[in-house]
Amino acid sequence: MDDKKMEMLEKYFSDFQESLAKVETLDELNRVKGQYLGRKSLMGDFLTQLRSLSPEEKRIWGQKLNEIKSRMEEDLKKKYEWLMFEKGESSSFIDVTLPGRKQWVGSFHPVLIVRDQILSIFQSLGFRIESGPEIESDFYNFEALNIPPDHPTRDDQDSFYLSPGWLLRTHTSPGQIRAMQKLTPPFKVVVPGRCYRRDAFDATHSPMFHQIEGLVVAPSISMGDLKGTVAIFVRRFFGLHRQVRFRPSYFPFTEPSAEVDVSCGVCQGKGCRSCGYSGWLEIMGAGLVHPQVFAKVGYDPEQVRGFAFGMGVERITMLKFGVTDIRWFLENDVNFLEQFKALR
Amino acid sequence: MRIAYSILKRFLRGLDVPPQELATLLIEQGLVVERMAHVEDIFAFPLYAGTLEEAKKGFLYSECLVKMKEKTFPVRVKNWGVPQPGTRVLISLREGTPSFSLVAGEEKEVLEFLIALPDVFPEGEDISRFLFERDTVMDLEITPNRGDCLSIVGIVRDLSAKLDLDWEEPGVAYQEVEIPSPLTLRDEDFDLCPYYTGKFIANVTVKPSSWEIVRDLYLLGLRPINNVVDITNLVMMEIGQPLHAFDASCIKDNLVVVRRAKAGERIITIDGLQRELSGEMLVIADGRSPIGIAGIMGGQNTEVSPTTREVFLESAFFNRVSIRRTSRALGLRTEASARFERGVDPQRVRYASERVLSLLSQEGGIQIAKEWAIAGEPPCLERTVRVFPEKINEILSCQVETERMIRILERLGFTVAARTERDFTVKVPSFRADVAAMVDIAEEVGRINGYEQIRLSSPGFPFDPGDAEKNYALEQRLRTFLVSRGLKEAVTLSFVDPKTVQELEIEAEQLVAIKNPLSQDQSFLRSQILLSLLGVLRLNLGRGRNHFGLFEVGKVFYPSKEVENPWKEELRLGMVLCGYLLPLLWQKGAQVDFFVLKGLVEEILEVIGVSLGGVRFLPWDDRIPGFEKNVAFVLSSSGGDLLGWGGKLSERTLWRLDMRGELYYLELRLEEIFGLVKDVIPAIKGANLFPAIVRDISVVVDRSLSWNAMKEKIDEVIAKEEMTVESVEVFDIFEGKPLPREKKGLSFRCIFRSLERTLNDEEVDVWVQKIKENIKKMRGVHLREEFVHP
Repeated sequence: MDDKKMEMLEKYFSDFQESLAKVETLDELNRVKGQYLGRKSLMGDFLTQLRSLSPEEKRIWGQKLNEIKSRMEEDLKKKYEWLMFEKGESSSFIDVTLPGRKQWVGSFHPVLIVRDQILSIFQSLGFRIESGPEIESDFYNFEALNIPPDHPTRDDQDSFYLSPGWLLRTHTSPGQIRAMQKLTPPFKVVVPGRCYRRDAFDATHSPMFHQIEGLVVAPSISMGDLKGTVAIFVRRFFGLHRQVRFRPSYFPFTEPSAEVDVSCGVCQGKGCRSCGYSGWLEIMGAGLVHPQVFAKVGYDPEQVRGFAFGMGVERITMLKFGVTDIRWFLENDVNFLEQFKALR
Repeated sequence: MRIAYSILKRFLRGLDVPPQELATLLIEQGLVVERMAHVEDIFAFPLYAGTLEEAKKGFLYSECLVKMKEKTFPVRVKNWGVPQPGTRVLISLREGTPSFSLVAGEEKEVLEFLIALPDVFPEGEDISRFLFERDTVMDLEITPNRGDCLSIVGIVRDLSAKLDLDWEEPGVAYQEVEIPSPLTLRDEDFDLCPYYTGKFIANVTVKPSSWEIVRDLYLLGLRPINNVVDITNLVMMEIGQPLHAFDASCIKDNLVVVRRAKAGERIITIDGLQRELSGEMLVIADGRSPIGIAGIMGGQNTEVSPTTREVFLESAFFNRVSIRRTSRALGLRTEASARFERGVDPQRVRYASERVLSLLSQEGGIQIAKEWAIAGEPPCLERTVRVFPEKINEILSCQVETERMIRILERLGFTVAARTERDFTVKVPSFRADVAAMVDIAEEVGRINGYEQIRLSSPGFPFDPGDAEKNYALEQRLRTFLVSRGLKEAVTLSFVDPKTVQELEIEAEQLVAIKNPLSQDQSFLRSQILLSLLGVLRLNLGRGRNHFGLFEVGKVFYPSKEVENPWKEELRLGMVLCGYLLPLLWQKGAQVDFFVLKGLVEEILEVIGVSLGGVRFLPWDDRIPGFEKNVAFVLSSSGGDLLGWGGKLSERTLWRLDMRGELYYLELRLEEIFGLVKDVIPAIKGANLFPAIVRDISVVVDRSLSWNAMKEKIDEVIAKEEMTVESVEVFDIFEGKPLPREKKGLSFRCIFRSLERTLNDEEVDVWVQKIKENIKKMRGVHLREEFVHP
């Protein structure tokens, strides 16, 4: 009887293992558990029969039964864990539609986004980034740029003075002078920075704004080099379908001088409200460096030529994003700034 | 400069380009068309011809009746401006309301004059088309170098080059008579007036101008006054030389003196305003007082009026800088000053007078004195420029034939003086003071040939742009980091309000004042970014935006003692945090506090590569106003240099600036901080795989004891015993029961790990014991397990 019983018990255990191996879900696991360890299972019978045994037999069989039972429980637990982690059968529930624990989302300032975009285009064209002070002397801001005192151009660049001879720069063009004093030709530089003019605030004027100046100096620079470089910039920044127009203009520090227009992105050059029905938008002033400017920094105008350009970053930002009031840029309402969070 | 298509066509007979295309051509040659308008959009159209039926002459004005078919309109007109009854006069009729002017809204109770029309116009018909055809007017923006284009002939000349058309300068024809000029001319300031001409005219009848002159003036944007003034104005528009007519009988002592004003001298100009003059200003005076501000505006005392019978006609060449300064000093800009400032043609000074005399003669009756009153002579601005066509083409990236270059230049008024195979020499016309060198000639050729002809190329030369400057690169990294941490970037005005400065208790001497600010609240340059960001804070809080972080990287300014450069500028970071870091919604957000701010500072330093061991956070020492006393820090380098400061903005400051809330602010001196960034690349080792042993130590200390003081003591023994410690961090601070009020509990975790071997518990136990012993030496420090509650 003992041997037979032992045989039965072993068969029972191996059956259990066989069934367990086939389990794929929690439901099946519970069924196997009920079948082999439940009250109505064979194990239950064994335990009931235990009562009728002699104390000596009770001790041996009890030990044996307990050992098998705990092995079975362990296997069930392992299977359960396997089902939980391997098969991803999780019983806990979360509402995935609730909002995440999101941190603040930051944003760059639109004007500086555009400034950085412009700078990176010129960097990729081999330009070096230079900088200069915001407080300039009359020499750098005007005289070295061929704008003597009482020159009519000073009317358009009404300046903030700090003391006689010292002012807040009215353009980034002093950067040209500083670059020429610092570097040896040939070179290509861009100079970004804040500028100041005594213009009262309105939708398109601000007493403080940003400019980017460009300067290329080499022995054989021509208007074609200027136009070619600007054309690449316009295509990269505004898009392939935009046209560039060069037209004659006047700056004391360039000769020949040009104003650069880009075709209106709203009407594609046909003329609409945003371009004042001209089809064109003015984006920068440019030209070949005036020989007088070279002379001021001690360059020989017979030996080198150069081209220079300057653009207003706020204006280009307004064109790029369709911003209609320049004052929004300096107001810094977080609600306005937030709109630029996806841009760099 | 306003110009009408019909006027251009009168000069350029062959002009067949329609107005719209002409505008494009003008833009392409550098004359920007700012505005284009059809005549019917700027004048009070439709226009009719009426007939003056009767005029009852009163003392000052006449009661006139103008008939238009079955209707009659009453109108009051000054006596001198009433034409003969039966004359056709101009009426514009809108919804039955008559106006006797061309410009809507110009009606007055008493008209100066009625605009007389030729008899050919039928009464009561819409004659707008006859009067103006379908004319177009254009407003041109003339660049400061092109004073010559502030005239019809200047624009015509430029267009003639572009269109390759002939044109003629207006002719001169008048008779002089042998009458003596009673006036004597004296030029006392040749430096400010190198050349002055005057002509005496007698037997003048001042009356309203003819329809043709009235129309042209209106088309050119001027108002008709009377025939004498109108003709001088018309000639100014025609050839760019301003002229002035004085009533000769009002010139006292028969003396015309060109001189600097005497200090304190005054003049009432023809606009009726009294002007105070200074010794730098040039005036035209008679024997006693000024009768005109030279080149800007005449005086009321010698103004030509309906009673004028004798005229002294002035045409002169004034110093442009002097005119500009005077005009700016008086705040008086006129058509005349605009032209003198940019330089008029010295060779056309007398010709302008002759044009006026010719037009005046056409009205008949006048007597022109034979003798000219002349002082000085026209300054010679003539020069020659040698031109190498090959070089011009090289500069322009164009291929323009030499013949075409010459033709363009000749059309523009240049004359070829000499010519060889390779080059030619041109004489620059006297009206082009802006042309002095070959690059200027290149621009002339380029602009007429068209900038669209420039062939695109790329500058080709070897140049290594190098890396961006270190500080620029670090600034970019800093900005990118702050944005990635959820802050918004701001750009604020560098100007600040002295009131804000005062509220922050900053001394005004530390600031840079603007001598000529736009307004009082923008009269200083900021010495701290805080001054600017406070305004941004107020705006956002005022609009109910309470949870955000903002930063700005920008310059601040302060005076320096250096003679070379009396101003200093410094790059700063300003940063403000307020509200909750997480949105509130369904989970509790974490409120911004001091340690959030400090954590950001530490992260900033780590991200840009400054070792935290090289800086110190020191308690607030009252150096920088605006912060809550015990909730602020000063950041300094180990060498003691000030790197920045931050903390909670004081409620008092905020209250004074009309704000409330828990606001945390940081300002960093970026140049100083960037200076701490080492360029060396750290020596990189493999990851440490030896296990760590972790021990926590708890102590009870005086409340005032800083973690920094304790840390120094810990570091001291670690160094002395050569312990291999990975980190020592505070993880719990406890105050309140059961601890007494003046004590706090502090727990920190030490992680021990060797780079070379596995540590064993026994040796770490010894180390921990040594740490404990060392900190116990500090006053008021007890190990938690040894602390006896009182």
